[in-house]
Amino acid sequence: MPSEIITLQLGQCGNQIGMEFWRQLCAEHGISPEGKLEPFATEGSDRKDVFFYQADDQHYIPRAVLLDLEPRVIDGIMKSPYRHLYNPENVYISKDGGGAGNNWAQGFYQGEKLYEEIFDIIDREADNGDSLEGFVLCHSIAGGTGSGMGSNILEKLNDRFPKKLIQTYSVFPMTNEVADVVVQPYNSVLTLKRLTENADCTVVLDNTALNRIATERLKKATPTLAELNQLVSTIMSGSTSTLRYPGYMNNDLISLISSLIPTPRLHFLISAYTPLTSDNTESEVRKTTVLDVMRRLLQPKNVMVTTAARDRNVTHCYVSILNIIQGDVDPSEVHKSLMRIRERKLADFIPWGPASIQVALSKKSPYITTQHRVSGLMLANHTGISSLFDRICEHFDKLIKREAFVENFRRLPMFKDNLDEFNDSREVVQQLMDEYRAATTKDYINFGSAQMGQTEQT
Amino acid sequence: MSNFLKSIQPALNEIVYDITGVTLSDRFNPYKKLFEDTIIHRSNINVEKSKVEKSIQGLKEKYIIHAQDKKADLLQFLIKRFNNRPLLDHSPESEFHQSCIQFIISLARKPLEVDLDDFSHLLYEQIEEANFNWPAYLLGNDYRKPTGSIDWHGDESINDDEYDDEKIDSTFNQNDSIAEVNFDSKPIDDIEQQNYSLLNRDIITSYWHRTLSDDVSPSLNDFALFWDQNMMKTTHLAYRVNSQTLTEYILIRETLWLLMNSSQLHIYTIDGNNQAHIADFVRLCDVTPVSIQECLEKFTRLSNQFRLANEFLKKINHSCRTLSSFAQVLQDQINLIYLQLADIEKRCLKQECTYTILLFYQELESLGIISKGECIERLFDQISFYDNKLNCDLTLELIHILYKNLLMSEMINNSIFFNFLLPLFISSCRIYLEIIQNWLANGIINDPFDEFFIQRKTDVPVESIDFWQLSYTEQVENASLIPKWLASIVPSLVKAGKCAEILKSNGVLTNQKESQSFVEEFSKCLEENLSLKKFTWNSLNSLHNFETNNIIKPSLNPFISLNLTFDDIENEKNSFLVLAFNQMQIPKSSLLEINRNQLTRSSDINQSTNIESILEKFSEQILLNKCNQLINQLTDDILNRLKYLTHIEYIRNFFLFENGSFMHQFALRLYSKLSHTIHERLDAFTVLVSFDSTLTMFGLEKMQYPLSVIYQSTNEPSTTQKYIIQNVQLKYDLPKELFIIIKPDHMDIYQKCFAFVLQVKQAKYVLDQLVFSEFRVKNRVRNRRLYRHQSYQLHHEMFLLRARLLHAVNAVNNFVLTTFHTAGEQFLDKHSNKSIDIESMINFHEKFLTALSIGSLLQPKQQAIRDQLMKLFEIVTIFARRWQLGFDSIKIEHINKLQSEFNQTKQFISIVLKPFLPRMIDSPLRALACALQDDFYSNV
Repeated sequence: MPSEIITLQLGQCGNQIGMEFWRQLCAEHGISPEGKLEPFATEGSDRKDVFFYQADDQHYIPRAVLLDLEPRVIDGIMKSPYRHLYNPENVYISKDGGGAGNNWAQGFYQGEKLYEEIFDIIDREADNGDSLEGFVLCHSIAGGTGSGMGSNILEKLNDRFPKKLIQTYSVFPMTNEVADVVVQPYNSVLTLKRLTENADCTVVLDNTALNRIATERLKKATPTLAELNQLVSTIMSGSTSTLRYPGYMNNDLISLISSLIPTPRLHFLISAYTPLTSDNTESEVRKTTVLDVMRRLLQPKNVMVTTAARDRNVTHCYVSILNIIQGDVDPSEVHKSLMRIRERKLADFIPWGPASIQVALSKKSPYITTQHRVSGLMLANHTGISSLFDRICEHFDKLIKREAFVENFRRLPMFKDNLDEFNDSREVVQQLMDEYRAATTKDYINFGSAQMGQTEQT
Repeated sequence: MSNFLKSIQPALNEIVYDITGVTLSDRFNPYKKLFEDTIIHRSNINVEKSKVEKSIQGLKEKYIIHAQDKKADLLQFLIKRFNNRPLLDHSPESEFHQSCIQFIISLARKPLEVDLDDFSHLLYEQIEEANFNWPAYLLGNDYRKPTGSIDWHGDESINDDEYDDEKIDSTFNQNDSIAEVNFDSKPIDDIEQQNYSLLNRDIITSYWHRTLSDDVSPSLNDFALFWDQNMMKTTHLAYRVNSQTLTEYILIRETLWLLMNSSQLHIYTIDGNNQAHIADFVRLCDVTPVSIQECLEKFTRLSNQFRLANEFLKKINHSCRTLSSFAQVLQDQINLIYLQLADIEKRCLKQECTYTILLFYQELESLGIISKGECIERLFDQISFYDNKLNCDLTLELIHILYKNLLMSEMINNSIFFNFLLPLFISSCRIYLEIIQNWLANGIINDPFDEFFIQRKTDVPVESIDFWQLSYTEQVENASLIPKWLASIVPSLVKAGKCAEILKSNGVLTNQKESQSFVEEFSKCLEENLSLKKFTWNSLNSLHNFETNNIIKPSLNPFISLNLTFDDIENEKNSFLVLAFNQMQIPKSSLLEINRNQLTRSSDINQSTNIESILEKFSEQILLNKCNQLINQLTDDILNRLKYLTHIEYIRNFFLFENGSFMHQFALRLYSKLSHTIHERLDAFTVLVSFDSTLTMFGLEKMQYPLSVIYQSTNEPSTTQKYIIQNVQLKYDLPKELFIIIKPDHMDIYQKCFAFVLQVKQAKYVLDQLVFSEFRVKNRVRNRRLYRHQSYQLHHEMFLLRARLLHAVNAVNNFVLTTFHTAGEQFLDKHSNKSIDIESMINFHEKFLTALSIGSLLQPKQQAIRDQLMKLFEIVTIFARRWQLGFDSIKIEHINKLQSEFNQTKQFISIVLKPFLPRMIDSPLRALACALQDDFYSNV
């Protein structure tokens, strides 16, 4: 009787990575695309009911809600072998089907409009479990549906389920090249505000970094979207593995993230996974040990967010680290590895609080053969994430200065009268970045009062 | 005439004829007598070479010239034999000897012309000596005239001589003072003077009468012997020092009788002053020819050796079974010796063979009797049977010594020793093997005489929790006495014995009828490997059967009374000789042959397979095999029937609730209940409701669930810990059979671990629950303003304190659960090993428990840490309570107080754990010490 988690997949990106996530979960639990338990899946020690429930005909059905304003991606899913996996009632496509047009405001507005219908599904799904622990939201923050409607749903979830955890897997757009969506900075900042204020934990998946990793690690010249999504699903399945395979620790989502997040706003997590393999390439890593995996996880090139180690004279550091080590691992190995990491000073930590590298040991799926004995996932709270926000804000500032492309926003209720929401969101993001920067110094202990002093001055 | 003389008569005649060329006739009778005596007493006769050499040489040459080579050789032979029996120079006999040989030579030269007058004084001397009334002398005052001797002397001339008068006088003088005869020796001390008068004189007189009337030589008179039937069959043998008339024949006969009756032989000497002395052998040496003296010494020793065995056999009645078994085979061996002796006697009587003392001795030696006697002496020298020793010590000592001697005899390749000892050894081991077999088959040590070296402590019943540790003890003073081949399997044996008892009490001891008996296997194993042929055993077995058929079956009665069949000498039907003769009428191959076969077989003993390795092989293949079988049976029973590991897993899941199982849910319910009603303490009702609802959630039947939960409310409210869960106890129904591994006090440890885990997880839970919902729930406007609000500083303090508390609690949580997990994994891992047995299971479980108690800081040294952790948990719960009550009500003083308390506690724990930090050995506590350090990764 686990703590159930409901997955909400929003928009094109959200549904795509969600799809990959479920594909991965099905494989790991030995569930066929139709939801049937595979004949070989006799090992009964896993906990399928965190993410699945069983229908009357014993089929496993994901606790997933698929939402989109346009039918393209979901239609694709519904034509895939996994079409019978999902509960059709949980698949919701906006009836006008026009999509949000990459407009956050449109998405948000649509979310507002479809509130009743969407929350019918979510409520039903929530009541389905005995002890709902929380929601996982998959979306991108750049487009319209994932960001706009996602923001709306975040706010609503917050009001409706105040005590439930909300975790998001948020895909951040590429910032180092010209965006295919011009209003991407607007969308991002507006979503970031909701993520800051309404989510308990956001796992940041930076498209820039994903691309880099796909090129460097997987040796793909031009990584496809599917390959990038596979990376994301690896992260998602890895971070939930301790929930799905009962271990002696970290059996609920909350225990995973509670130690990672020291203050309400500092809940943007970076992630890393090693060793990475794709279907048709051979891994470069030949031998894996706990230390080896932990060391790799700390290398920036494996981190799925492109962050700067330093910016604006600030040396960034880790607030906290959670390593989920999968495979056949002796706990004493963990301690030894931590000692090595300490000796080599592989990780810089905040100066104002306890440095913690939490290590959760998790089992591997018995149904998937991997090349490696040990694999690891890192979820970490790193102040360097602020540099990512910084870049977004940079773009945002450039656009908002000229009030470029705001017309589409003005058409919708939230921006009808003024563009305060932009400024407001920008401010929240700024505060977030400020807090991250403050967290790199010892003075963070007095952050509240310093902040107070600053604001009083302004 | 005695049988012996009769038997040698033809030979004598032949020799005399050969030497002298004269056929012995009545005319020649006196010389014949003299001849007989000289020849019989040849060893007493010394030839002074210088004086007779010439004559002999001349005689020999004369023979050769006359082509009488054969006679010359015979003479040579005769002289040689005399020469080989040297006598001391000062001995007065030398003159007689010389005269004697001169007489022979003269006879040989001119048989019919020899002047007998030259030798008459020799005869007189003999006659005078013969007149001495030995029996009277020995028997004390009761003087009786030996009629027989008078008759004999009457036939011949009794001429008093000057030379002899003195001797006779002195003899008779001595007779007057006979009461003063001082038996100043030990054996005589035992026999009171009074008893002497009570001796059964009839026997003695009849004996004397018989022998004397038998027309034997006068030498017999010099040889006194009496034999005390009433008193321990002690034989007193006295002979006159310097007497030339000591009859070998009589000695042999008496020795035979002595040996057969195994009575004590005392030899006295009578010196020139007619003083009787205990003849110690040093003095005997002075006065008797060496060879006879040696033989006598050996006969005496042999007699005493047999006596040792016989005394042992008589006294053994009330001892233990092993000794009885040993005695029985010893008896068999003794019987064999007696039969061999009887065989000699028979042949003497039938005049098939003529023995001299030496020949007789050689015969005894060739039969191995001398060696066997020595062997007996060795054994009885090394073992003291009557020291009021514990039976087990005695038994063990017996086996040890037998084994030791067996090894030694094998080493020196002494097959007589070996063959004598082996059956003794086997029979001594028999009872042990039987006890072991019974033990392993029935789970009980059937040992009424406490002879087994392992003892069952009766005050430790099989249900007792200490059964495994205390039930069986090795009750030996000196464990090194346990023979090596057995000692090597003693641990397994004890283990298997315990297993058998447990299996029996569990009612699953499959008491299959033993197809193989250890004893049989044991002897079979030895027989096969030592290539001892069955008939060796058969001969013993036939004796054994004979005995058991006729007397008492030892197997029926543990107190074996071993009667000597020839004890009762008066009962002719039951006399030893009758028995012996009867016995010997039947076998086709005589006992002698059997024995010789045994001797030749000794070379067959395959040295490559020595007894040590054979026994080791036996104990390994048979005993150990059986032991392992039992141990495996119990292991199998525990693992498969009692489902030990399933129980362990249950206990692990319930008491340590590592994973998100039933107990995890139950705990969560308790925690959430507690966090909902933060003002209230836990009560029995809440606990029960939580438990029941968890059962319902899992769809479990309460009645059938092995687990129940109890809340024990304490009357005295704890002042320090208000919010920590306490007094929740689990009850797990463990099958009683498993108490052997998981004892009730072990369950207490589990209980304590459970309580601790419950508290640790509670601390972790309440902290985890402190999500920042406060900052989500409120509307966005408020949320935005929050950071500008004055109270944010306070909130921030709360957040940071939460983070620090979380860090500490996580460290503890990791430590506890990792320790438990690792211990559990290792524990289960070990049990997947196939070579596991009950003992290792107990060990592993204890190790598991130790690991658990370290993990829950139950060790005495860890108490301080535990106390501080309780304090930490209390801080955590208070903090969580304040958080839950709402941030608005929090004052900065509260936070400061909590903070300082936390710092204090953490500092204390850090100080206590500091010694673990620099250690190079990885231990869970070191991991905890590291994890608790705030600046662990930066402060290198």
